[in-house]
Amino acid sequence: MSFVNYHTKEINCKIVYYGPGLGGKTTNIQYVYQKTASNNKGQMVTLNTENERTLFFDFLPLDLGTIRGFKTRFHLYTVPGQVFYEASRKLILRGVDGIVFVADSQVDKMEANIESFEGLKKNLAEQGHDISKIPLVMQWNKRDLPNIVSEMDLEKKINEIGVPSYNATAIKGDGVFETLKTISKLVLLNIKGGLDS
Amino acid sequence: MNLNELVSKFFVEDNYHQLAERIVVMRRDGIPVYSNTDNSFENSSIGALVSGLWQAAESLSTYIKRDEDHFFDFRLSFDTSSDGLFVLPFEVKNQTYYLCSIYQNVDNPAKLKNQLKSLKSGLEVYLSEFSFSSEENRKGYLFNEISDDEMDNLFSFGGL
Repeated sequence: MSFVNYHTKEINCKIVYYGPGLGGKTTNIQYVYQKTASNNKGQMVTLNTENERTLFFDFLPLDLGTIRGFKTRFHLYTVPGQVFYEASRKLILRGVDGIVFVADSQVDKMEANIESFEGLKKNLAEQGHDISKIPLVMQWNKRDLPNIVSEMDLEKKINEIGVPSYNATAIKGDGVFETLKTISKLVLLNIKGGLDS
Repeated sequence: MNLNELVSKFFVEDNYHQLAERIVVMRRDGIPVYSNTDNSFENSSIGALVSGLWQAAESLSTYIKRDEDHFFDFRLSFDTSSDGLFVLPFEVKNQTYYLCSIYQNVDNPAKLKNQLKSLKSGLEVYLSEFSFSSEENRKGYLFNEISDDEMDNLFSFGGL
C-alpha cells in the first residue's frame, strides 16, 4: 500500500496490529491516540460490537513528522481477534506495509497466540506475501499479569523467524511506542522507489 | 503533473467540487487522492472506511453469480430520500479508484447520482489521456538507512 507522492513529498503507510482476541491490539492504538497531540492525529475510528469487541477494524491516521523532507502519515489498523472474523482479517491485511503481532503473554493464551500467528502466515501467503520478508515486530503484551509465559518460551514458540520483539503492558503504555517506532523504521526502510526515476 | 494534481484540476476547472457536500477520490487501499475539503485526517478516515466498506461488499457479492467484467458496473449506496453516501469504482491505467460522495438535504438524490456517474466517466476519460508519473518507474529504496536520531525526531511528538 505504501504510497509516496514525490511532488508533495508525502509518504503514506499501512500498519496492522494483528493477534488473538483480547490480546491488546486496540489498547495499543488507544494509547497512541491518547498520547499524541491533536495536530498529529485524526479521530480514532472504531467499528465495535455492543460489548466493545472489535467488529471490523479500528483505524487511526497518525502524522509522525518529517524525514528528509518527506511528511509521513501512518495508517494504523487493528484486526478483530475473535476466531470467527477471519474474513475481515483477510480484508484488512490487503495492502499492508508492516505488522505488529500482539501476543497475550498469559499461559492459557498460548494456544490462541499460536493459532493466530499461523492464521497470519496463511493470510499473508494468500496475498502473495512471505512473512519472513514483510516488516514484522512482535509484542509480548500483558507482562504485568501473573501466570505468564517466559519471554524465552514466547520467542521459541512464536518468533521462529527472529524478528524484533518487545515486552509490553499496553494498558499502562509500556512498550507501546517502542513497538511502533521499530515497525515504523522497518516500514520506511522497506519503501520501494528511490529518488532517481 | 501527478495524479493528485490532475484530479484536483479536473474537479476545480468545471466546479465539479461543488456537486456534493463532500467528494473524495481514493485509491483502492483508501488513500485519498483528492477531496473537496481540507481536513486531511477526516479524508483519511473516510478513505479507510470506504475502502473497508467496498471490500466487504465485494466479498459479499461473491455469493451472487456475477461476471468479473462487470465489476465496474457496481455502485454502493447508503441513503435516505435526501441524505446519503454513494460510491462508484473506476479504473485508470489498471488501478482501481473510488469516487465517493457524501451528501445531505438533497432534493433529488437520483439526479445527483446520475451526475456522479457521468462525472466518474468523465474523470476516467480525462485521466486516461495523461501519462502521470508513477513510483513503479523508480528503482531501489527510498531510504537506504535511517539513523536513530532521525527516528527519535519522528517520534518527538510524545510517547518516548
